[in-house]
Amino acid sequence: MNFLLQDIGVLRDLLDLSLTALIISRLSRLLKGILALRILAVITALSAGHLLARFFSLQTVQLIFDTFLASSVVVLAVIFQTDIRRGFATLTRSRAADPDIEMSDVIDELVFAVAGLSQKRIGALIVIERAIQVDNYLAVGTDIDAKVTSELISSIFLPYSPIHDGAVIIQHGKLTRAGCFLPLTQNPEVSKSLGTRHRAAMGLSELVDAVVIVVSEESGTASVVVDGKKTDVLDPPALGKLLRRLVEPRWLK
Amino acid sequence: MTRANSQEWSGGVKLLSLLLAGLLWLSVVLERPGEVKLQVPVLVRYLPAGVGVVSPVPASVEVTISGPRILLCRLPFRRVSCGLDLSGAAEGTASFTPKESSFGLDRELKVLRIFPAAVSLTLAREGER
Repeated sequence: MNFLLQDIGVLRDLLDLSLTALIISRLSRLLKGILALRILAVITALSAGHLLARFFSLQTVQLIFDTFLASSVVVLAVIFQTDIRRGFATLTRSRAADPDIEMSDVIDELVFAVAGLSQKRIGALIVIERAIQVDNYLAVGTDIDAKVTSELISSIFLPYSPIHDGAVIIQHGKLTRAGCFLPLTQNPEVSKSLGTRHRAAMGLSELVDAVVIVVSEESGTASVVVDGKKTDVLDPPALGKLLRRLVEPRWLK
Repeated sequence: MTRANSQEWSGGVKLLSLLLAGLLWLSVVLERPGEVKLQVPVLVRYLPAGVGVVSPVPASVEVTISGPRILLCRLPFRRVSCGLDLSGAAEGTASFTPKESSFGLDRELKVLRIFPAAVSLTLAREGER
């Protein structure tokens, strides 16, 4: 009986350790980039320091380590607020998307517009807002508030249009703004061959959970950027399929 | 982030997560209370001037100490001794009971049992030995 209880104790400790590792690993994945890795290393060093200070009864050193460890939660929440917000938005996203006629209309119009712009090699940048509002990250722009139609999108991006040089924003299924400037990515690992339009798409998608469609002016290739990752889309049906997977009907209402 | 960098990052996160989890778990486990039994040498202290111990002093006493395991882990590497305070002692045979303070332990450590609980010593004037 004693052995059995001892075994349960070992199992409980193993479970405790595994779950802790899983929680830390999952929380780390909410954060992005090399900074998260460095911060994880610093917290590990602080924990090791706390243990050593406790073992050797170095009370003042332990006080310093404990203070840093206790305040690190708040510091991390401040540093990674956008990553945490985006991470939670991803967690709460429902997997099943109801078929919706209105949504289908918006996506069809977008696909049609992108296909046309790609064919004519006209650069375009289209932002579809999801759970996190994009307003705080947009500079300048012209308010529009119109129904999403392929004709409107195509005409906005025509080279002689005064607002062709920025991004078009789609919020709640409506085209709300055009000519908006987006924050550029600060990621040094992004390929130098990518232009400003792609960098802007990546920059915004690193801050919020929006889906950004980019049409390259040089190659006419359409790409979808989400969470700072670019996916090239080869044909309009693939773009439609991808958008239906990424955008839930509730974000277009 | 390239694919190779991403894999490296993922591996680094996994490794550091495991290491951090191990350290956190160790912090929790080592704070659990435990007990340890030690044989500690007996030292006679503050003997009044001109008085000496004529009976044999026991070499050691067995002491059971309880407290957080992290502090107990360090005890075998520390020189723990049982200091008998004879400052108020007079000639003759007397029994001395070691107190918790006799062991010079951390404040978080408690002495549960001492065996023998009391040490009997015979003191005499230096000239009378």
